[in-house]
Amino acid sequence: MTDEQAMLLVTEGNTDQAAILYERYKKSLLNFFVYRYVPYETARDLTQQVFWRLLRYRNTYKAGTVFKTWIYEIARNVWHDYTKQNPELTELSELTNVGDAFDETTDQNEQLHVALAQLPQTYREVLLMSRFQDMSYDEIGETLGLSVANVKVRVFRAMQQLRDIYFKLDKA
Amino acid sequence: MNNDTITDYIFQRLPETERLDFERAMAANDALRQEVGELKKVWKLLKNAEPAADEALDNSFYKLLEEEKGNSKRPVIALKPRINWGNWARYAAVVASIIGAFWAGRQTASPPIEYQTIAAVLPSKTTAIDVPKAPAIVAQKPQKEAVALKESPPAVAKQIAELRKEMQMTQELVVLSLLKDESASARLKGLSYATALNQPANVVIEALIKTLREDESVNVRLSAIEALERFKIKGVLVGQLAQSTEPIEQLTLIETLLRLRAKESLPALKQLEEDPNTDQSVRLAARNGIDELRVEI
Repeated sequence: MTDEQAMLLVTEGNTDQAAILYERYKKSLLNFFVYRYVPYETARDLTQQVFWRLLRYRNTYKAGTVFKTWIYEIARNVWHDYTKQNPELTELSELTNVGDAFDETTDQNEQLHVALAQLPQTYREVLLMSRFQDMSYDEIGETLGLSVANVKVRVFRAMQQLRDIYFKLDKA
Repeated sequence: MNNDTITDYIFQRLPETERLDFERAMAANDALRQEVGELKKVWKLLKNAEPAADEALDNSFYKLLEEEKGNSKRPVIALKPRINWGNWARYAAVVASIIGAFWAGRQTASPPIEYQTIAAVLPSKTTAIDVPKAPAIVAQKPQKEAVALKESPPAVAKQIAELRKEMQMTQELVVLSLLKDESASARLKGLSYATALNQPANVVIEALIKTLREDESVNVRLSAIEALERFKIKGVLVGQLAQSTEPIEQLTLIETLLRLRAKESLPALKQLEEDPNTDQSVRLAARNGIDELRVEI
């Protein structure tokens, strides 16, 4: 069953199908928030918010919409609302808490977290969408309102910058 | 070299022919090779840096779902606390085997039984109704049945084809699900199922290629080689030989490519043979492989 088929069943009242969508997307959505450098517990609450909105506003889902882009739009709205309520939030303020989310925190992982944190948000976002959310250029473009060519350029620059920061930290 | 090509290569999104071209270009360009190597390393590390969802998140979601079901006041089936995809894969495998057994039974037993049953019923009906009119009825009814019987084999064949298709799709789903599993033993099981498939869908072949290129476990990669050999995907195996640094994987690839008589692997074999950093046994196997393939030219 595709994501879209499951979501259509949810809109028809078969809310059990939301469990399928939850199992498929819980990890990538959690990472969507974890890498915005909020504490793990907050990322968990925000992920929960996304699924709450999925259920509550299920009737706004229309047949023919790509589910993945729809749910990430919800996630981005949830994040937007959260930052409005927490204007003091800075990207690096909670960096130390990110490591707590991992079972095995190695030196390499730590170094990568630091490098990721130093990336501009716009670069980090496309990398995470590509890596963790497994989104295609088309899907990223649709979610962020960018052309595919722009997404490609941004992804390449993000990769280069992450590489530069990572290896610079390696030498330090 | 276009920047898009570099990212597409690292993200494994390049079509096969373009990927081979890119690898050839990389082999001839040290700076490009270094850049791609560094970007690839960071990309791989990024995957390891993905935290998993914990039980608290699961619990809160399923509680939320229960509440939502209560709010909607619809008759609903009780939901399990959480879906275990490992179990799902096992159930799907059982369903697939039941369908298979059913299909096998149908194929061996159904035609004789249908003919015999109809032959036994028809005479009793015709004699019991009206004896004088019997010839007309008898002549008409069996004719109708005969038409139906003549039509039934294609219908059965269609059913069988549909069943077979469904079974194949179920098997493919199981394979895809297992290949994504975190446990290496589950992925090995997935590869073993994949080897048993006949003409799998492209998505399965792509998953096998991805496993060969990306899987962290060498045992899983070795099984992926076996699966790809079965489907004669030579180009991918040649590409992997040029990339691999594990002697056991290199040796398996060489043996496989020799069995497939893949002459296109000659440049990669030559490169291995000449590389002083390559394991001695691999260099020797590459040398023998070159000799063996050249004999056939």
